[in-house]
Amino acid sequence: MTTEERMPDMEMPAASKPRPTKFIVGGFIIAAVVIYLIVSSLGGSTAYYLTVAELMAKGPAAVGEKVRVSGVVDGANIQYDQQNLVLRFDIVDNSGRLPVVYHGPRPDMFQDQAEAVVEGKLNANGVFEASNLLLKCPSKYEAAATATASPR
Amino acid sequence: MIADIGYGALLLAFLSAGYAALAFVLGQRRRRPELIRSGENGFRMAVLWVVTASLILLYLLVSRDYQVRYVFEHVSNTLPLAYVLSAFWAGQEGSLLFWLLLVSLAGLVVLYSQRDAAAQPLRPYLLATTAIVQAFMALVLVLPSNPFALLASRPADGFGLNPLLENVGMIFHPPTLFIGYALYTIPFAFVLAGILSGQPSDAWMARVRRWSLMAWLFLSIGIILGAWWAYIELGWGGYWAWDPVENSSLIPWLVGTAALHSAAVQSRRGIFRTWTAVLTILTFGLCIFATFVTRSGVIQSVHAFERSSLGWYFAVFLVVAMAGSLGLLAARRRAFADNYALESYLSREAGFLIGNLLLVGAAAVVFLGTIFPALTELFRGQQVALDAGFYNRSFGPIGLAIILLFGVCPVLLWHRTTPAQLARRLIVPAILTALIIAVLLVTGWREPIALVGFGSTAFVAGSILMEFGRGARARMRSAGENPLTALLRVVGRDRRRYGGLIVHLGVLLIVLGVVGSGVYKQEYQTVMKPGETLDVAGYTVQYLQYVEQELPHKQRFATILRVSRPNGAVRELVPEKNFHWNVEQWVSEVAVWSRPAEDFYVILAGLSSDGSATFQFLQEPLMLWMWIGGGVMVLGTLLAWWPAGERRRRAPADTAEE
Repeated sequence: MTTEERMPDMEMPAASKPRPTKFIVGGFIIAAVVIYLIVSSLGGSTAYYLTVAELMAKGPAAVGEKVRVSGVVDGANIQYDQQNLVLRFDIVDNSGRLPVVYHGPRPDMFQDQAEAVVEGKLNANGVFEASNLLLKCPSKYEAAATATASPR
Repeated sequence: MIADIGYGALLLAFLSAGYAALAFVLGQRRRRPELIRSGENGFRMAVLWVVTASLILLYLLVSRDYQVRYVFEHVSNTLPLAYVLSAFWAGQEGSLLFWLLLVSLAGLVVLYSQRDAAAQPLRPYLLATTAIVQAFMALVLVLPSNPFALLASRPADGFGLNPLLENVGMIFHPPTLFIGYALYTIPFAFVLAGILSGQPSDAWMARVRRWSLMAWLFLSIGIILGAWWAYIELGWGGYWAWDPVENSSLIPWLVGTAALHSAAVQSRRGIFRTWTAVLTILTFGLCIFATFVTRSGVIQSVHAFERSSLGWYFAVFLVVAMAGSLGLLAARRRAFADNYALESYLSREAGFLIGNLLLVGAAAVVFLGTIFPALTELFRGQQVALDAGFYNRSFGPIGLAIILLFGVCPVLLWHRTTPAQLARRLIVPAILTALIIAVLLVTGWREPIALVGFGSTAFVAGSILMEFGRGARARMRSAGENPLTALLRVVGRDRRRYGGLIVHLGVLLIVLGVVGSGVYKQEYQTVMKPGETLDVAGYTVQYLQYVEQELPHKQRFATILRVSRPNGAVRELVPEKNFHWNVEQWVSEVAVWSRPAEDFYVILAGLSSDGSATFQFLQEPLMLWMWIGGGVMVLGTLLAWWPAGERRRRAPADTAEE
């Protein structure tokens, strides 16, 4: 297995080993750039993960702020406009109810009692405008049973 | 009861692997060969028990023994046989057993292949490490994640597989990923064995290479298949959503890629020894992390730890394995001292190092993004999620820098390169890039991201293809061969290098798909009645017919479309929306017309009883190249991996490089 491997050339003595300061500097520069990219990219991309009740508790302060809200789809209030692909529904948890509007095809896993995570903003009328709708099956499917729908 | 025998086999596998590990270490420490031989027998027994348990699980699945909970949850009476077999790795318990099976078989190959004199000092530790990993996995299967757990009664039918998983991509995607994760145990075992036995790192690093490449190959195939599955089956026209499970497969891939390149420099120049060892250890740790994330969903919330004890098993194992091996490495770092230091930034080794740091940086970005919600929950008591924009802004520039290095690195010389040499070799690709950008501007592709993406692709492709040309020309001159023979010979004689370059070309094709579909994706939606015809995005779509069928496991609703191009090409596309009885849920099946220029992707978004349907049409330029690029990567990796036959053996001094 090793016969085709080239052994390293050993013609140079191991003694002469200057401290490669300039390479350490280079390494730090790369690390600094990566850290800068991470920190600068966080802006505008973070969204608080809230339950319906937590969002309600924030009151008007929550309007216009990008958040992710999780709750359970209430089957009684689903309206799907097939022609224009507009989906209106409520998500609920034990102490709150949030009306949501989502533009896009109704995801396959969207149904009564599905666990939903909506990402978007609450508008001034108290309706949550979801740009992203993520669903988890009510059944006990594992990780692969999560599907994302993200229009535009 | 057969399931009980399966459980017993797992228990015995755990005990045998534990015994083997102990016997190997003691036998080597106390210089008692008979103890090592006994360890080998223990190892063989462990493999035998794991194989037994796996066969029993397969038998239970095929015989649809619904009293076994795992069978009940993943198989049903109407499920076709191929999916019954794939149910082996469709769930948590089964996939962990599959993982254990793979590590065991890989360990068996090591047992029978590492027998030469030079491998003797490594061998006991190598097998001991593998046995410890096996014992851990067997323990998980015996305690928190038992695939043979029984239900109180025997239901008449099982729940069945999630219909989303009923796709060819899904038969192959999880096992290939798991093969990749599991195979990375062997490089890790080599590093640990090297540290413990005190053998010089260069001697065994060469042995690791083929294992690492194979693991990396499977990981790559798994990731590409996963993207393809998402594209075809999830029906939103995307292939990558930066979700935790996807990310967790990308992280070890990135670090593993860095490890491969670092090892290449080590074998060539005798430097980066510690760095290679660290990367190999980290890759294994990240594979364990990925296995765990894939199978637990813990990343969504640290609270998942409280719900399932599985998390604690993995966390403890991961911390012990990483702290232990990195600690040992630190203690023995003298054995990993390099022969030289770097000489110049303009050298191939420096290029490799920069690429390595960027790969690790990219992995750090993805890792941080993946654990961000858990981190913020831990420190601020509130989960904060990141969207795809974070990854695009941070991963994107790093990715671009890595791609550009593809073009510069191969033309750099070892030790040092003068700026004049570099300029001479890059002038042609630079001119080519300028031409391509000019053509793009004239033909209307003016998005900045597209110009940067396609421009760098052209630059790098030019540089790499010229490398092939340079090698072939040198051979034509020296051996007087015709161009084709010369090209094949030069590639055949330095497969490591040219295989690697071919992999880079594959990555470039993937970049074409990413940029094309990312920047120029178009969406249209419309309502059509059967018989209607519509022009959309350069296609003529005729809605021929609406079909409704009752099948044993689903109600099928299909719309038959006849799609034609102005040049006369015609394709029948059949997007469907089916109701699956077992999950009481709709599952859409998209229809795609793939051409080199673009994909035409049709989603059936809504359907009324009179057959009028809402269609969503997506135009995704250059998507096909993503999958072709994946194929090219596989071929390049196989070429680099392929062993040199006896007849091809050559003196170490003979190389095609300067």
